[in-house]
Amino acid sequence: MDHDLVLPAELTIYHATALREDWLSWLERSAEPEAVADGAAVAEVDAAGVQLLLALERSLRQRERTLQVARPSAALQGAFDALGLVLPAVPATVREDA
Amino acid sequence: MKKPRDDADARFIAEALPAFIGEAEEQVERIEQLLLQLEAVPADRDLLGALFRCAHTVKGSAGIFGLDEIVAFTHHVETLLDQLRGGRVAFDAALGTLLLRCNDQIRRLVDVAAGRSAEGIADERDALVAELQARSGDGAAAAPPTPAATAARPAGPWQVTAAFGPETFRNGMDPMSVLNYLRGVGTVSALACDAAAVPALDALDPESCHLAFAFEIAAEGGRAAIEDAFSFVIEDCRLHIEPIVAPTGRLGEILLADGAVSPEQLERALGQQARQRDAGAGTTEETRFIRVQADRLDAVINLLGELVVASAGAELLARPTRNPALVEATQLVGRLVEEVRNGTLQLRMVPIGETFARFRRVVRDTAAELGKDVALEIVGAETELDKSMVERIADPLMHIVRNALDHGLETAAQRADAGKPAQGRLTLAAAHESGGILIRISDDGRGVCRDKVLRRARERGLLAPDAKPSDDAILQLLFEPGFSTAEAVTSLSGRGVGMDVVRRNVEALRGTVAVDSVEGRGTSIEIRLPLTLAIIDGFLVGVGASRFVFPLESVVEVIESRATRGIDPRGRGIAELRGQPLPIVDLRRLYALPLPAPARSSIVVIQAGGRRYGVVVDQLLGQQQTVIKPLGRMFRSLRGMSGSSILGNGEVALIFDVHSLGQFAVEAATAAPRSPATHSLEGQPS
Repeated sequence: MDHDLVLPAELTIYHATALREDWLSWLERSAEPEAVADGAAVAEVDAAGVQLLLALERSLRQRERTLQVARPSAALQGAFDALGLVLPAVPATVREDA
Repeated sequence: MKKPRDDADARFIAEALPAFIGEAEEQVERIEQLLLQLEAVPADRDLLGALFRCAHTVKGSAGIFGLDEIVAFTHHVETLLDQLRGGRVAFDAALGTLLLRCNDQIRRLVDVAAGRSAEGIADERDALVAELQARSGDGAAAAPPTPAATAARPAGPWQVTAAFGPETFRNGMDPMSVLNYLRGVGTVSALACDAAAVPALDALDPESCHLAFAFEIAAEGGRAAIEDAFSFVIEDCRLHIEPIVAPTGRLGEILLADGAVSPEQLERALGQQARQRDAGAGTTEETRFIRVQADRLDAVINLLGELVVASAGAELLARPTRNPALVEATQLVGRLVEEVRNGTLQLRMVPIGETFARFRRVVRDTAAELGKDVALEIVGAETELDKSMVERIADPLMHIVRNALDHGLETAAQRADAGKPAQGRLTLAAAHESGGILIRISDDGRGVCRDKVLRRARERGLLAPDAKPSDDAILQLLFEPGFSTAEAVTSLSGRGVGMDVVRRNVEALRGTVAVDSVEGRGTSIEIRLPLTLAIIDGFLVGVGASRFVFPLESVVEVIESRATRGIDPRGRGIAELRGQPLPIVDLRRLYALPLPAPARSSIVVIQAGGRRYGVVVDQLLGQQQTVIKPLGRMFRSLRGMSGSSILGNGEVALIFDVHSLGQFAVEAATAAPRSPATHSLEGQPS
């Protein structure tokens, strides 16, 4: 699971620039066609954070890969709901088994 | 505007309330003007938009101050205005009248809030609200206009699209908070995020916002409440709020459903539309202002007056030193002081158009009351004059306008008989004229009947039964206090009061008022006022040890003294100037100044109020900035003086009122040339 992306506790505008750098380098390092991001730790999230995640998904799609979010925290799920977005989540049961 | 929080509120409100009152009064004034403008162009979208924003502003700020009555009432007005704006209700004359009455109501409520009036006028308000609701019902597509339907309308669903601008995050705003806030405003449904504009990670500036949203909302507060939610981001956000009209839907959606346009095309077109709308909204009004307390400005102007005197004093002291550098320096200071003076006085200048525009309503309502058809024409609305002057001229103007409507202009039938167009014409004109302002109120009504004036003057004992005054002198009679030839005393005018007050008010402003009238053709009243009451450019002269100042703009030329004939005991006579007789006044005789007169003297030729006359003086002392100080009570009766001034060297100079001095000069000189159009006036009956 080294190549899984772990979403930070604060997925907000304050960390957006740094996160983008991290994620860009992660994009280079990883190659799984079905990328998974672990969303369990996300405690704070704003629209800028969500947008960053959307941009990441777009970058993956350009590389013909997909993004799924595993174990989304309530905050993360709530933000997607609030913005009228559907979180590309890994079904929880499947993930627990893995 | 941000809602103040709890504790400091009371103090904040007490401090800010006067500003709210002032702003509300301005908005109310604007609403009135916009409504009156709309009568000419009922479908003008810019005007309708501006109208709505005015009402919205009043309601919004009244809400902050907890002025619930204003909020509740204005809300109904706003609802109707919103429907007008959306084209769902059409503007017509009846609606205009209703909205004007509602606006009066808002004005009264603001008065109550300001503590100027304590009347509760709930009954009238309820009646107006009922009328408003009846009218807003008209626009509801199929539903009959029942109160229930209209009350429910604003809650009806709205389709909202909001594209947040790139700066949103950097401005500290979060679309998520806006959306969450909206969930408190109403029921949000069908929310969809349009992330199509979000670039890939490598191309993304993570601090720029690329998110757009579309949703439906059923909001209690209607469009206004929805817009409020966006108020902090509105500058950087493309926002569309459209009511969802069940059967038809929006044009774009219809086209989209038919496949006539692609979603991208639609989005582009809508964006373009929004930009055009936004651009249009700015042009109708909303110039930026800084609000300054009048007394602070007055304090600056007073100090400036002292500075003008002080700098003139310094220059006078510098001159005898023959030190060129010092003289130059004081001259430079003098020039700069003059520039500052001009700039500061400019701050007090307001266009007279605002005052004129108030008369649209007066003319409209008064003419309707009298059953007359009158068109008001305004010329030179941009002409500027001192704010204090504008305030004090409003009442005299009002009286003259009412007089013209009541007595001057005839009914349509009378006009037809006289071979005139049915619609009467009343013109308010303003223009700058030789350092002052000329305001002309003219009508094409029946004019002044000189026979009637004569008859009345004799009845009143204002004129000896055998006297045969000239035409001009007859017009002068109109000034006599208590004089009125109106056959019927109406509620508007004709009680014989007012016109003498008009003249007194105008003269108190160092102005003059004159009437000209051609029987059957109309009447024209001219008010001449100085631009400001504070400072004038003066022309300083000396007679013996006394110093006098003429307003520089009234001085035409200076000639050497010459033979004068028929000098009367008060110093009046006639001299000759280029073959023309020139009435003159000898100040030494007039004011009994000590003799002997010097061997050489000069005549200053003055042009004022359409007449020309000369004043004999000993010395010409040149141009001088002069701060006008009012004359003390003791000197009020002094004829021909308008004020005094302290010169740079501490001497006191008297400032001439060139108009009344001119009247004095020509009184004796019957052969004096004078323009037939000019006579002082006090009452314009008919």
